Amino acid sequence: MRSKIFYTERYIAIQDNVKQFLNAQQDFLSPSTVGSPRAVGDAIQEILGRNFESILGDACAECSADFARVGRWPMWHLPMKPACITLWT
Amino acid sequence: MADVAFTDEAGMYYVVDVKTHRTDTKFNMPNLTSVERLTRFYESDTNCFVVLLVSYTIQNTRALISEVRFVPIEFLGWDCLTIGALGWGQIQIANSNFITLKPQYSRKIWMLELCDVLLQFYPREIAKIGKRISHFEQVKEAWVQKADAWAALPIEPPKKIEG
Repeated sequence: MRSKIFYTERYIAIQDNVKQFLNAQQDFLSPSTVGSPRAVGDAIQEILGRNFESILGDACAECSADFARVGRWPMWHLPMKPACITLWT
Repeated sequence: MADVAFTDEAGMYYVVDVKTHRTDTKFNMPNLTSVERLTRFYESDTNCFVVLLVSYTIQNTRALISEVRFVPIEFLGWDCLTIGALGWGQIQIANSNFITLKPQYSRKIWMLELCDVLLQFYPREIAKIGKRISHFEQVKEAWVQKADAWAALPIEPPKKIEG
């Protein structure tokens, strides 16, 4: 099965959306975090996690950032939906 | 780390690993995922492991995003990837300053290349372990021969005070 995002030009539009979105964020770093690549990475990851569904737009049927906190990729043999993931904590 | 997951309208399931890279650092070698974890994940053709690479520079207290790449791992060329010796092996980006993209690359071919990479990697690890074994055989022999200056001294019983 070929992804309709990655075997079309849609992923390029998503890349552009991510760049535009992050560059539009004004205040997610502080003088104390700006010098730490880890802190910057965490901040970017957190912002993207909260907003990824809107960044993806119509490419996304269902989106979740919750599973990252409760365990990674559980039950991945099944083409499961992210909403199910929290059941496998 | 996998940070976000989503499904598309066709039911394809994506996990997204966000990696950030400050471009003025000379060297950055992020872990992507375990080879064992990825091969299990890719038992299903409807699963997709995606890397979201965000490159940035810092100006004052702002991160200026210079480039974003949003690609399945199989679009990353093996000339920019390496295997780190942790557990079954970790797929790593060798240096975030040099990334080779192969858009629409075949997952089947990429997975076969992964197997070839691992079939070269594991024998090298075995050779390394063999060297470590002989090293510690020598270390052990040296310790066997050494006098035990740290042995517990016999404790004398307390003397009775008569008075």
